[in-house]
Amino acid sequence: MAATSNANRPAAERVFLAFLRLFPSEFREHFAGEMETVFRDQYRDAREVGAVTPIRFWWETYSGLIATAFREHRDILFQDAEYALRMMRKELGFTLVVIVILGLAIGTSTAAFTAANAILIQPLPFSGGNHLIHLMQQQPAVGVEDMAFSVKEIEDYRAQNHTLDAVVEFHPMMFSLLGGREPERVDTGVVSANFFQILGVSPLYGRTFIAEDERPSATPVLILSYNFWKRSFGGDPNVVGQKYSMNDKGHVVIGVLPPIPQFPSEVDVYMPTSACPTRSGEHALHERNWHMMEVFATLKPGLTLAQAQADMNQIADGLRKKYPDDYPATKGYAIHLAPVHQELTHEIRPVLTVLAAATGLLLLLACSNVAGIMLSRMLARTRELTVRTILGASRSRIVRSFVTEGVLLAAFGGVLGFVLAYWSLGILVNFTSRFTSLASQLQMTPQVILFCVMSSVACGVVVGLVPALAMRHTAVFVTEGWGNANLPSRASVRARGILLVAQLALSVVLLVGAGLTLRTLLQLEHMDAGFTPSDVLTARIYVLNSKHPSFFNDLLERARKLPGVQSAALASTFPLYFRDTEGSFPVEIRDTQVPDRSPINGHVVTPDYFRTIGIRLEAGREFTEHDDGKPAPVVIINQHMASHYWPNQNPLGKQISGSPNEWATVVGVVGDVRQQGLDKEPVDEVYGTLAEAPRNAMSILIRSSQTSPELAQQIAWIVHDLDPDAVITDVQPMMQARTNSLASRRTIAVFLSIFALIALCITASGISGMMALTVGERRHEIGVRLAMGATATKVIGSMMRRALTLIAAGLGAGFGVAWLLSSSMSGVIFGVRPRDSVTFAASSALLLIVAAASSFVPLTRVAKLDPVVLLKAE
Amino acid sequence: MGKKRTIESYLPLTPAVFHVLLALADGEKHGYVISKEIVRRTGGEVRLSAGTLYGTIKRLLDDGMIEESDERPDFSLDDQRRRYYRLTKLGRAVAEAEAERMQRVLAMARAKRVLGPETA
Repeated sequence: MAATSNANRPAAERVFLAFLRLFPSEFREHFAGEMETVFRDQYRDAREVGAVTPIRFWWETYSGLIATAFREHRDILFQDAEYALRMMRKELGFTLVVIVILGLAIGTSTAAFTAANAILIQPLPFSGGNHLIHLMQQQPAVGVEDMAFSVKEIEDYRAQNHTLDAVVEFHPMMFSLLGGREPERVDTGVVSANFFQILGVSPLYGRTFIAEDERPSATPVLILSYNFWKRSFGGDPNVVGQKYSMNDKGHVVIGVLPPIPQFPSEVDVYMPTSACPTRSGEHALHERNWHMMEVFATLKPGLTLAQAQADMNQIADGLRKKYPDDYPATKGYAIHLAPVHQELTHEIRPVLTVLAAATGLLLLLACSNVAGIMLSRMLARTRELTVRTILGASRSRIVRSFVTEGVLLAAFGGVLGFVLAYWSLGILVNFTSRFTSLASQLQMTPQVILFCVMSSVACGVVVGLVPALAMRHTAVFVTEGWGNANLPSRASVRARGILLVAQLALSVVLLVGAGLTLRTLLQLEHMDAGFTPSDVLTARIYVLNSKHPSFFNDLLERARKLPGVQSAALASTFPLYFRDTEGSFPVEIRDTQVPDRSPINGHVVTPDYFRTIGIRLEAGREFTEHDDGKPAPVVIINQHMASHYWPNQNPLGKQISGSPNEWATVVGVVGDVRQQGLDKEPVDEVYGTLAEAPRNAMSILIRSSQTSPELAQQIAWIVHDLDPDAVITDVQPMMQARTNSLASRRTIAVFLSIFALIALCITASGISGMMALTVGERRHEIGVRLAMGATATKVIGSMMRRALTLIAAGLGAGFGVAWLLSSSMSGVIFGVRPRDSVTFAASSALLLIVAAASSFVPLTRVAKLDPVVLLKAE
Repeated sequence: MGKKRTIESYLPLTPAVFHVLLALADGEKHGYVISKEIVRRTGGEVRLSAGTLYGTIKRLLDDGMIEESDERPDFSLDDQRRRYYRLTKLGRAVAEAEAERMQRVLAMARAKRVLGPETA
C-alpha cells in the first residue's frame, strides 16, 4: 500500500480520498488504491496535457464517484434484503412473533402520536385560531379565576382598548327548535356577528353572520353546526333558507358550518346576540353585574400578549375606580388573557403526556425484546456467519446485513402498526373528545405516516445493531476461524442479560403506571359521593316559558302515582350531571365572622329531592309543599357551607341573600355531595325551592323499585301528554351518570393496563426464550454435571439463581425509574400518592411471579435430559 | 448460486461496459490504460472517471466477464497497486454478441435509410 501520508498529498487527492469514503468498505478495500492511481494519472493528463477542461474533469470525477457509490450501496442493500427475506421465510414463526411485537409497539406509539400531533402540536384548524385569546375576569380575593362578562363590561373593553383587533362574545343557551321532524332541544351558541370572521371559519353552505344580523330589529337567523345538520337534517343543503320556530319567533337558517372543533363548547346552532331573548333583555343590557358572556379577541398585528395584558390591566383599573360598588375591594378585580390553544388543550395535556410516555416505554421494551431474540438467532447462525467471514465478508458488511434484516422486520411491523393505529382512530377520537373539542381533528396526516416510518426505521436499526455490536467479540469476528458455534461469548451473554434487565425495568414502570390509574379508579368507584344513585331514574325536561306554570307540578303528581315509584322530585341540576349547570353566584351572608365570600353553587329542588336521591338531612328540616317563598323564602344549605360560615354555631335560622334586599332563612342542613365530580371536593351549596324560583328546564328524579325502560317510556308519555312541545332528553338511571363521570378515568386506566399487560407478555416471552436458549447452549455442561451425579433439581436451582439475579436487577432498576417518574403521573391520578407503596409492591410482586415462572418453565426441560444421550451427541 | 445465465441475458450492455470489454479485447490492461484507450478510440467522446471505471470493472468481475491477470509486466515498469484485467471466455462471447446485436441494428437502420450505405 501507499506509503504517502495523507498530509503530504496534494489537496485534489485528499478531496478524492475523502469522497472514496462514500463507498462500501469492501469496495474500498478492493479498489481504493487503484482508483487513486487512476485518478492521479487522469488529473495529470487534464492538467498537463489539457486533455479535458478542468470543470468537465471535476464534474465527471465526482459525479462518477457519487453515482457509483450509490449504486454499490443499493446493490448491497438488495442483496442483504433478499438474504434477510429468505431467512425470515425460513424461520417464519420467529418472524411473525417479532413482527407482532414490533407492530403492537409501533402501532400504539403511532396512535399516541396521532393524538398528540392533532391536539398539542398542530395549530388550531381555524385560520385565525392561533391569534385567538380568551379574556377572563377574575376576583383574586375570593378565588374566582374565570368570571363571565356582562354586556356593559364587554362594551367598555371593546371601546377602551388599544391592542385588540376584535372583541367577540359567546354564551351558551338551551332553546326548543320547532318545525322540524319533532320538537328538539338545541344547544345554542349566542355570538357576536363577527365571531366566525375572527376564527377564520367559512361556511359549508350559505353564509355566516354579518353586522346587520345583530341589529335589534333584524330578522332572527341561525347557523347550524355540521354535526347537528347531519344528525337532524340528514345533511340536506336545502335547509338553508328554511324557517323554524324558536322562542315563539320565526328563525331563518342562513348557513351550515364545516366540521370544525367548536369553541368554547360544542353547540347545535348559533344565533347572533340580538336574537337571544335573555341577552336582549333589560337586565342583561343594563346591569353591570349580569355576568353571562365569555369573551374572545384577536391581537392587533405585531403586538404581543403581554402588551395586550398591560392594556387590559389599565382598563380594569379604570373600571374598579369608576364602579367601586360593582368591583368591591373585598373580592378584588383583575383581567387575565390566555391563548385559546392553551385553553383547549390544558385538560388533555397531562393525559396525552402519560400515554405518549407509556407508548414510548413500550416501544423501548419491544426493541429490547426483539434485540434479544435477534441476538439468540445470530448466535444460532454462528457457523453460517463464520463461513461468510471466511468467504471474504467484512465485519462491517455482516453488521450491515443484520441492520438490514432488523429494518426489514421493523418495516413489516410498521405496516402492521399503521393498520392498528388506523383501526384505533375511532376509539382514540372517542377517548380524546372527553377532554377537548380538538378530538375531531384526529386523522392520519403525512406527519403521522412520517412518524410511523421513522419509528419503524429507528426500531429496525436498534434491533439489528445492538445484537450485531454484542456479537463483535464472538469467534466469528475475532478468529475468522470456525470457532465454537455452540458457545456464546461472554459479551453476548452479558448483552442478553442487559436486554432482559431493560425489559423487566420498563415493565415495572408500565405496571406501576397502570397500577396507579387502576387504584385511582377503584378509589373513585368506591367513593361515597354523599347520595345513593341506585334505583333512581333521571330525565331532563324543557318546556317553553309561556306554557309552564303548572307543568312541573302536574308532572310530579302523575309520576308519583306510577306503579313501583317510591318518591319523585325535580331539580334544576343533580350530582354528576353536567348539562345546564347553573354555576355559582355571589351571596351576602349575615351573622358570620368569615370575611371570605366565595361564590356558592345554587340548586332549585322540590320537597322530596333529598329523600329521593338519598342525601342525608343533618339538621333542621327538609322542604315542604308550604315553602313557596311566602312570607319569606327559605333555603337548605350543605354541611360544608354550614361549617364554613358558622363553625361551632347552629346555622339554622341564619340568613343569606342571593339578590338585593331578599333574605332567605336557613331551615335545614344536608350532607355534602360531590356535585362536580367524584374527584372534586364538596363545595358550599345552597338549595332553594322550585315554588320560589320557577324554571323552564328541570330534571325529574324518580326512586323506584325498577328503573326500567318501561318507566322511562311512561314518563315520556306523561311529559308529552302535558305538553306536546316539551322536550325530554338524557333519560338514564342515575347510576349511569355516576358511571359516565368516570369514563375518562376508566379509559386511561384501561389503556395503561393494556400497555402493561402487553409489556408483561413480551417480557415473559423474553425471559422464557432466553432460559430455553441457555439450556440449549449449556446442555454439554448440564450433561457432564448430571453424569457426575448432580441431581436435576440442583442443576435447575443453580440456573434459576442466575435468572433470579437478573430479575432482581430488572426489578431494582425499574423500581428506581418508576420512583423518579411517578410524580409525572400526578395529573391523572386521584386519591393515591404517586409513590403509593401498595402499587409499587403489587407491581413488583406481579412481575416477580410472572418472571420467575417464565424462567422456571424452560428449565423443567433439564429434568428430562438424559446425560448419556447428551454426551454421545457431543 | 443461481441458475446459469445465457449470453443474451447480459444484453444490451451499457456503453461503459461495452467500451471496457472492447478495450480489453486485444490484451490485458490496467485501469488507467483502459480509460486512455477508450478516450483515444472514441476521440474523447467517452470518458470513464475513476469512479465509473471501477464500478464497471467490479460488475464485470462479479459477472465473470473479466478477471484479474496473474502475470505482471516487467517489475521495473510495474506499480504494485495497479491490477491488470483480461477478458474471460464469457466476456469475449458477450462482447461479440453485443457487437453482432449492434450490427443488426445498423443493418436495420440502413434498410430503412436512416443511415447511408456502408463505405468501404
